[in-house]
Amino acid sequence: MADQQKKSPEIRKSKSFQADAIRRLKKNPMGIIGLIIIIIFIFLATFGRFITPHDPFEMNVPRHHEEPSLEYPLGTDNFGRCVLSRIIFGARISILVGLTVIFFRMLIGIPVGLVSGYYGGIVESILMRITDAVIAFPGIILALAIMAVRGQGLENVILALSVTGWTTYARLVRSEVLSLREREYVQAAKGVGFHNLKVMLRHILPNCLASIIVYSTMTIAVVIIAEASLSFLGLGAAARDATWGTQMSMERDYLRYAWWGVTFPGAAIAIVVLGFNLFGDALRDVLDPRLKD
Amino acid sequence: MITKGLALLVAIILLSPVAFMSPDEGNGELIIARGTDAPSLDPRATTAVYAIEVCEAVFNSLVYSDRDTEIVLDLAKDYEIKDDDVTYIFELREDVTFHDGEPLTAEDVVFTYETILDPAFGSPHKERVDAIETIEALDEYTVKIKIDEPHAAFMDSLDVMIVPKHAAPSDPFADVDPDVDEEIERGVFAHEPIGSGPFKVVDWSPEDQVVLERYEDYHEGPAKLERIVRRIIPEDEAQYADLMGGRIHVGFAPEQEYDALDADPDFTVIHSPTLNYFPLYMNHDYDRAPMFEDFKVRKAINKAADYDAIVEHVWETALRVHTPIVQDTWAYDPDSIRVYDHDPERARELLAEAGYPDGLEVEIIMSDSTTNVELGEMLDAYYMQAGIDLQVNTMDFGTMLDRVVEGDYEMAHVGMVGMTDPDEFMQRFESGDGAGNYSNEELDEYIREARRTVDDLERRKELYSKAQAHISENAVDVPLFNSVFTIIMDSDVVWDYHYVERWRNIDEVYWDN
Amino acid sequence: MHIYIGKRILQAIPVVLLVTLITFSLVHLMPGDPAVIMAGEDASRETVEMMRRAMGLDQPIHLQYWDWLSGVFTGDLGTSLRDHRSVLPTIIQRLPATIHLVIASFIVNFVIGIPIGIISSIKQNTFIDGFARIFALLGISLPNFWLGLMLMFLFSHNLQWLPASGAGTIYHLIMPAIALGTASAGLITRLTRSSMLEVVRQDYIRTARSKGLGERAVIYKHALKNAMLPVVTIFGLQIASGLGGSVIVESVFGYPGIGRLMFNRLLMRDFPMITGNLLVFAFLFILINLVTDIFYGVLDPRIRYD
Repeated sequence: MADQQKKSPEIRKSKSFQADAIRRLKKNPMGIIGLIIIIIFIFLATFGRFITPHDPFEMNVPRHHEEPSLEYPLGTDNFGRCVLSRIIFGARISILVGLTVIFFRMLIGIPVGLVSGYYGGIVESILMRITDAVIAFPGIILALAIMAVRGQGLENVILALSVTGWTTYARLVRSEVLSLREREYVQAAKGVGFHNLKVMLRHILPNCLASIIVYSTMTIAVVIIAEASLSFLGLGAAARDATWGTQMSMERDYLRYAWWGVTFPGAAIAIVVLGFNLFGDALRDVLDPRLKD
Repeated sequence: MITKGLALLVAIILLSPVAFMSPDEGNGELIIARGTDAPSLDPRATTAVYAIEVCEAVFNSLVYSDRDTEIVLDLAKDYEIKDDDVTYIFELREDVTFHDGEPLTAEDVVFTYETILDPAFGSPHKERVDAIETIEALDEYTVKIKIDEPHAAFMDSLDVMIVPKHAAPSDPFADVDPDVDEEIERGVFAHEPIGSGPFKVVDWSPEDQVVLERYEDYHEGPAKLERIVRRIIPEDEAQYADLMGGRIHVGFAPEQEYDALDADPDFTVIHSPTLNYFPLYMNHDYDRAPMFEDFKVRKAINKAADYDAIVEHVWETALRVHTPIVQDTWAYDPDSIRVYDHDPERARELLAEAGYPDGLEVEIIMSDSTTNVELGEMLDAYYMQAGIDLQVNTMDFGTMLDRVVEGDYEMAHVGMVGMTDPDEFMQRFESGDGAGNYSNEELDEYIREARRTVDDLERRKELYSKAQAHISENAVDVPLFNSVFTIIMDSDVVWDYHYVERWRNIDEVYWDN
Repeated sequence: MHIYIGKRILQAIPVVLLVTLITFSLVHLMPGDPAVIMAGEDASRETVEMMRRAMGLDQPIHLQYWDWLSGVFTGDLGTSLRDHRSVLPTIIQRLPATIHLVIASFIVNFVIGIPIGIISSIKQNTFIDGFARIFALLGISLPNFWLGLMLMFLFSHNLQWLPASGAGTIYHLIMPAIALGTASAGLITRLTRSSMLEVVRQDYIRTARSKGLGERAVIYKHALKNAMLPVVTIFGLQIASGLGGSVIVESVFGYPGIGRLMFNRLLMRDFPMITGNLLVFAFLFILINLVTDIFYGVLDPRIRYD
């Protein structure tokens, strides 16, 4: 953040760019819808526990699988718990998993991309071959294998999804760096004798931000689906974590009998994923200069 | 370019061995669905019910216990127990042949039991037949078994299925041990077993299907069905949908569908009683689970949840029980049992008295079936009110079983299955034998004396009453339920199914239409 | 050209080695003693010790890796701990089913994705375009297991048109292929659309238009061909995600492919089978990627072969 006050040439230029971006976002109704969905989602995740109509964990077995009603707007689950309250509660965990996983993926992927793009040569070869090797395993399978090693639980889900998806960041950042490396201001910074780390952090990384942000927005959606898939297969979060995936997994046997128990958490996933995708699309249109009219 | 590419892809699909016809539904074929596959079809190597039921169609045993827990003759045409109560003589049927045409003789019986008793073989059946001191073939069709001391329930353990000496390996690890003689066929027997039963295995693709074909020379006459396909369908929803669509003929349905299915003339719903006892184990190896050394903690656990409500909700058809001995069997004694009622406040007090004023943390492990996940959710909610923080850990059945057998757990939920005589129920509480690692001399004495009491049923009954009283008074475990096994069949299939006999009568199954 | 292909193949060699190393270490981190699993529930300590020696588990770890690696390159992936079957034949036996499924899902992808993408780009900013974009996004947003359950509920349970489990006929493939392919179809729709839009703005298309060629000819002859390049590049990625998704979809539909084998054996901690499956998945991916890269190099003359 301190960097921004000093204003590197690229950042200074971006003031008009920002205004331009906001203007163009406003013109994109799909993006606005996406943003609204995300804001609602974040609001629920933050304040959810104050607004759930019922305690998401309180069981009332005699009233299990009640249809949606005024008291239980989305019905009750197999233990008579309020489906709406559980979905609201689950939002918190979904966003937590989404953000943490993205954070860890960046933490691994960005340095790998920066270093290999900046230094090139043997360092790049080694890092990129490692990246290739990790990519070679379908993400969900590697994640399942890690879950089988570590056992159920939220921390393990975060770990499994983090160590599998960082490769895209590495490749993304590397290709940005490659195109920036020879730019004048980078060469100038190097020439002035700035430390390599400084050059990377101050002059190169900020210019990768646009694609990182766009990619991350889309990826949160992918992570939420991946978490749900792991939990659905029984190798994800534990039942008491009450993620949307575990909620669906526990209610799926009652699909014909009480469709609301599995449909609404599924719909919640689809809506949030849709939200992030719509917004991510709009962001790309706005931030990616290649698609400028 | 694209259209060409697509045409090519379509061509690949069409040319590959994917047929357009739906499977043949001739009346000689029965398709049975299951969620889990057998680990092995060598009956000596496994106790998994998914394997045993198939083995029951492929093999025979000397005798077995039927649905009324009476001993029925199978390969034995007669038997005699000598006056010393430890010598058993079995006369074998002389008309039995294996699927490869070789006759089944006393040598095969001796071979089967010897390999099971060989510690190097590692058979999970070993413990059940460990009482055997010697087994020998007196002549081609006579077997003599001598046991170490009189044993009232010994006959119940002779349902081990007999494998052919000329084909079955005496070392189950022949396939992995490089030192083993090359001449023994490596590991093939467990996949392509040869038995003497009404059906022979013609194809087994693991985790997909086992195909059985009628053995025409079966000693009781050929079976009525020509073919049995046992398919593995892990997802309940898929199994149910295919059952409804007539693509499988015998399978499972979700509990909440039973009533509708009962009313549907196209389906038969069979609720078969079982002898399976499902408790919550508390580990009595106090090095692993120190809290359970204190009776107050065990009592608190027994009072912490409304187990009646849990069983009623999660296993709708099961019978709630308070003792390991199943209701309506002869040793069952409801009057000797102490029943703990749900009282979370009292549970909290008990925990405080036992030195856990701030509550107790416990882990429970169990397999990851839907019902178990539900059990975990309900236990968690109830225990929380009693000040117990329950860590529910569900896992693959095999993994869970490994941990229970190793004693590596605090609490566990797993069924006690494969028992017919009360001795087998009680054995699990004997020192050093049970998964709960319970060890108490007084209880051991009741169990052992009852085992030695060969001729006096009243005396045995009395001893088992004392044992049941001891187990419930000391809150050794948390008794939950006796399961009821429900399967759904096409109503044209005639199969007098009973869980205790499973596939033993599969040769009599036929299509009636 | 040959140099380019040669270089790509050379690059793949260290990746293959790294893949074996990752697989080996991952599986060796798993809890549980393979010797105990192999020997069975009630085996005695001596049996377990014997197993350990027979399986080479008493060797130092790097020797174990070396033994295993030399097995891998001679096609010997070991023996299953659970059913004692040879790993490689078991996988190969089930591989065709998964390949059928992935190909079928591919057809779903492209048959749905490309035409919708094209139409959407031609009718940019119309109602049809909006509809297509929503469709594409929904496709991406629906978890495949959820879609699978819904399809099963509708087509097997209610309508009883399609079998809910198993394999063997084309009907068995329909629902799993849709469940597996829809997310990719959404991606391909979007990619085709944006790539078309970009191409249409290029100079040579303008030239073609100005030469008076009909709109249809412009689109099919010129735009489409060039717009397909980026779509081809994600071929490999789509196959990989199809292979990954097969784990979930095959479990939902009881489909006997390697995805379900992998998942079952993972739960059972059948280590040799897990390593074998991981390797097969990774090798397939490397191979497919190699082929698409080379294919792409052939298609696009702009690629430099340095």
